[in-house]
Amino acid sequence: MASARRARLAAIDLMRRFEVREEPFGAGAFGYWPKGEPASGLWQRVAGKVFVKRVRGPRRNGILAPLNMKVFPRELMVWPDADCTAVVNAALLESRCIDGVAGPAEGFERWFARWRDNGSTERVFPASLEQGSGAYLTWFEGRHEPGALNDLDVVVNANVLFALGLSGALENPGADEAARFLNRAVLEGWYREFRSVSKYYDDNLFFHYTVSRAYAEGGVRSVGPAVGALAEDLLERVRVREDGSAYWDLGHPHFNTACAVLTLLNAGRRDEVVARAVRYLVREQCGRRGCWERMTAFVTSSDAGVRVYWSSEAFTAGMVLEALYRWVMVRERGRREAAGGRLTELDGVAGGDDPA
Amino acid sequence: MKGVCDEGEGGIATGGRGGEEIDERALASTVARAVDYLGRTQTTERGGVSGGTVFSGRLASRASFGAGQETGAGSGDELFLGGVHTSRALRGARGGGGKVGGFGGDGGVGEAGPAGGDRSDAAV
Repeated sequence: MASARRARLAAIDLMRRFEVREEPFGAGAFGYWPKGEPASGLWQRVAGKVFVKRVRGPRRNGILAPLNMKVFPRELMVWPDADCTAVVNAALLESRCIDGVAGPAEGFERWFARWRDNGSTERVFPASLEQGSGAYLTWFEGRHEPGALNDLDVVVNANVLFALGLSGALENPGADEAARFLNRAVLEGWYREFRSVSKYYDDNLFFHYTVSRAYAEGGVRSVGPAVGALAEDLLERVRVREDGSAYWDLGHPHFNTACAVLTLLNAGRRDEVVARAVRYLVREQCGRRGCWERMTAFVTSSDAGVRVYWSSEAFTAGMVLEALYRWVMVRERGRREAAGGRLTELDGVAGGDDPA
Repeated sequence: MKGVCDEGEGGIATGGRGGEEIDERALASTVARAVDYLGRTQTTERGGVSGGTVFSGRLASRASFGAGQETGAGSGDELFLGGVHTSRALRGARGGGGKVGGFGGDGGVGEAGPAGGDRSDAAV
């Protein structure tokens, strides 16, 4: 357990290094990449121009560049974003509770409120949603570049709501609008064409998980309608093996199943299918290495149509571990309730209530 | 897909083999090995990278980060992403082992191995 704690703290320390303090940003704003240095020498500039010509864009002219790339054209650098700001601050909030380390910067929620879809920023994604929805934009553009389009992403908005809920800041401007966006994306069926509502995530049930996490762990009750519908969606799509174990398969069944288990638990569902899925996850672990299959975490596209995928095996392992321990907590809670025992503070985070 | 047979969708019933209790030892062992795996794949070092072009940067990042930070674009973001979820998962291991008792407590996790490792030679 000591090694597990060390690993967690090391992860937290790493995340802190992605804070973007350069004006107009400040404490509590995080980006996907660290501060970048634009190409300076002649050959670097030439290589940068070739690269830009090849991928075309999106040209955000930001300040963050990929790690370990000595040459990266300024045009393709990105800005801090709502997604990283949300998930890192949520992790810091949790670590403060668990480890007693410093939490997030005071007032980090203001960054989300500053970049909203208020009609003044050009935004064409998703096309199904009218301009000026009020939900949270993905990119914290320090300086708007003509032609550089911002966007709304359902997973990003779910993550922002989760962070706001954890920090007790659901009165933050945009929270109601973000919840409305998520409910519409689910209840009107937009999410079934997932690429129409998310530019950065794959259709792998991670969306289901993030919305339900905001609901159950973040206390964002306003997304209850979406959570209930997503849970029903999962129960309709489950598959069963000959040995009785259950799974979901959208291309990465280990990851898909972990997300489904967590979603159902967050939705307050205690169907037997959850136990069957836990058995599937236990049986599918790589006996030699202790991992599960790699999954696609992020997707992005260049203006030239080049698609880039960020994949991870460790991400799957993290999600499966989370699913297993949550299931154990829910099961223990059920046993104590059945025995008429007293519930503990841990029971409060074991699983959500059924929004129905 | 490895280990997955498609016997059909929907129709989960109660009882039968699916209703059996999950073996506690198997569950504890699964968690212990997974935590050990995450410990082995985690590194916070970025150093040792050189290369004057975007493309050599891709190769260098894959080669230098080691296991657990496989990045499609070779930028190291995976480490960032994995860090978030590593943290969440380890919180779970703590909750299960330390308080609820389902995972067997401190003795069940074991020490993490050295950082880096078996993906350091992965091709981009």
